[in-house]
Amino acid sequence: MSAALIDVKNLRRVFDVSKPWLNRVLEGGHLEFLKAVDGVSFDIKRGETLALVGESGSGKTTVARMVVGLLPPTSGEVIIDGVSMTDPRQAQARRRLRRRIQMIFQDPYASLNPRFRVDAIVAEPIRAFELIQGERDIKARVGELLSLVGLHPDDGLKFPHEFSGGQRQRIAIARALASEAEFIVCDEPTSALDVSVQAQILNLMRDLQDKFGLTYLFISHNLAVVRHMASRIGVMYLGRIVEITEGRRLFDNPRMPYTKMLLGAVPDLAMSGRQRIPVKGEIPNPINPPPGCAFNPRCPLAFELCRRKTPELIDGVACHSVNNPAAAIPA
Amino acid sequence: MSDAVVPHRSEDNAQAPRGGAGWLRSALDSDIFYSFRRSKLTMVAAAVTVLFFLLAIFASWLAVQNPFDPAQLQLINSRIPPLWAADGQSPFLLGTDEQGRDVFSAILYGMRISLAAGVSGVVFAGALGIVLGLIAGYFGGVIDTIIMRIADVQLTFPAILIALLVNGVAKSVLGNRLDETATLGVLVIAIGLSFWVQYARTVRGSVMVEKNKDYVAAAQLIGLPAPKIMLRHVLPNTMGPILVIATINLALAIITEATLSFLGSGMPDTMPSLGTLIRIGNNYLFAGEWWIVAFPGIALAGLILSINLLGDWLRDALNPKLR
Repeated sequence: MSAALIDVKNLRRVFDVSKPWLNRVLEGGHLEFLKAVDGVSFDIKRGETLALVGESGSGKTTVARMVVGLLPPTSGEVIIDGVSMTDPRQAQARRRLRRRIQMIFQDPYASLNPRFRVDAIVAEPIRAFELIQGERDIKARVGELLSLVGLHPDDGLKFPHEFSGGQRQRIAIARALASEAEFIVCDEPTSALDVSVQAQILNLMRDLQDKFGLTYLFISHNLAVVRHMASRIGVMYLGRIVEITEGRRLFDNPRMPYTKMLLGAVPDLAMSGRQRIPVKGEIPNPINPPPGCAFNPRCPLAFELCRRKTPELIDGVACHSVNNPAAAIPA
Repeated sequence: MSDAVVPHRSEDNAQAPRGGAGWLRSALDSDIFYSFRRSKLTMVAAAVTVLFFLLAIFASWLAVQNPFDPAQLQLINSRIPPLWAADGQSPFLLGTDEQGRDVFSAILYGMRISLAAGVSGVVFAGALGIVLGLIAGYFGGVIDTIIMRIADVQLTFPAILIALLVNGVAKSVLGNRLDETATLGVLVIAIGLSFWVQYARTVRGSVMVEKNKDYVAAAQLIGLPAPKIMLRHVLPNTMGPILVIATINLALAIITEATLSFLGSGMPDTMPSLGTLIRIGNNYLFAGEWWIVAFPGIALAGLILSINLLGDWLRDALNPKLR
């Protein structure tokens, strides 16, 4: 494995969710900020799949959008193949880099322009980056891409509404491949699909990864999907990565109590009859998160330190009871 | 499930629309055409609208005289009642006015002016409103606030007041240089400036929905510039409601033009629109020469009614919630 292709450093994103100025003046109240992502760091090696999992509102999608550059980070840095996505001095290099980054979106019904024929959708990146000259060659390339994702070249003449959700997601994948991308951010690519179709799309994505050496950042809330796809997994909770480790190790030996709770919630025949840690409580309000470790109100192992100090990510885990077992209450 | 590994169904492709004939067939198969065929009222309204447009376009072939050309008018022919009345004379089907102007010809030419003013006014209002609405909705923030507050202020004035204002200003600035063609241009600007707000609001609303959809993000991702994304991706997906507004606005624009002409700040007597004809005829109504005002009035009412009915049908046909 070569060096990291993607390097994300201390990424933060704060949204201003305050009421309008006039309301604040008249009704009282003050500025409110939502920390969607709070100090996330990770790297992804070439050809690897890093998955980010977490509940709704944990900031996974915000991370994905910041990594591809759709959303500017409040602070922190995304470096892709040595080029910073945020440094204004590297705008020239970033423009060249843009071709190599693509994204597959969650909702295949919203990610394809309903007024475009499929061949126009797939050809758009080719035209935008001027990868191929001449209509005939573009058409041939589009046909090739459609075959690659398991569609027929003639499907290019149809409109997106003539396809099922799974087929639309195939079109979205073909579009991502059209610019000869190396790094693809997949934002819950299968969560809008039937279970039977999910597997086909995931297998297609793995096949394409092997064929073209693609690097994936895979966002999901579904641990079963992540287990199938990811070489490494990061678990997110309230805008922070609480555990990040190799895929197999996470499933065999989860360390953070939150990870244990998530794994306990996966429906699994082998687990039937065994003791589970039940998922209790809900993700707290990110505008007003609990002090210390954000997970402490739900954590069965929480002790005094957890309510005071936010744990650092040490050796892939951000948990006081794991990193500082001496101080912890014996579980 | 249809999503097999090679999920291609060849029989679908055999029917895939290709070329002109396929396009026509799919248009005739569409829901909109079906709802059109089901409503007799709409079909009549469409027929009347098309008839009026054709009459206006081919006015110079259909009319017995050019009512804008004083050389063709003869005072000896003045105030002739319609053909079926006792004193009716051929070829003056609907009678003549006090200048000896054939009412039927004047209606055809006047309708041409009215439709030209209405259509150009709507196109101008639409272009202005769509561009401003697109910019406001896409960029948001301060730009949005400035544009939409101007729109709000304008909305507090009745459209006719704005039109009168524009006309008055143009008249005092241009004075004698304001000939017939320039008056038509001023009318178009007046109508455009009074109706753009509706387009801007509608487009802004749709754009704010569409711009958050992922196909726009996908376009941003490949680095397309904002104007290209707005025109290629966002705008075509906001055109449905615009079409409805434009149709209903066409009727309103024609009425506005007629009102302005009726009030005397529109088309002059030398190049009368339907509104001007009604104003001229109004003076002779109590003298018993009812045909001078009645027929232009009926033509205007029929035109407005049928365009409005078309607009109502279009609104219902394009609104999936009413199906």
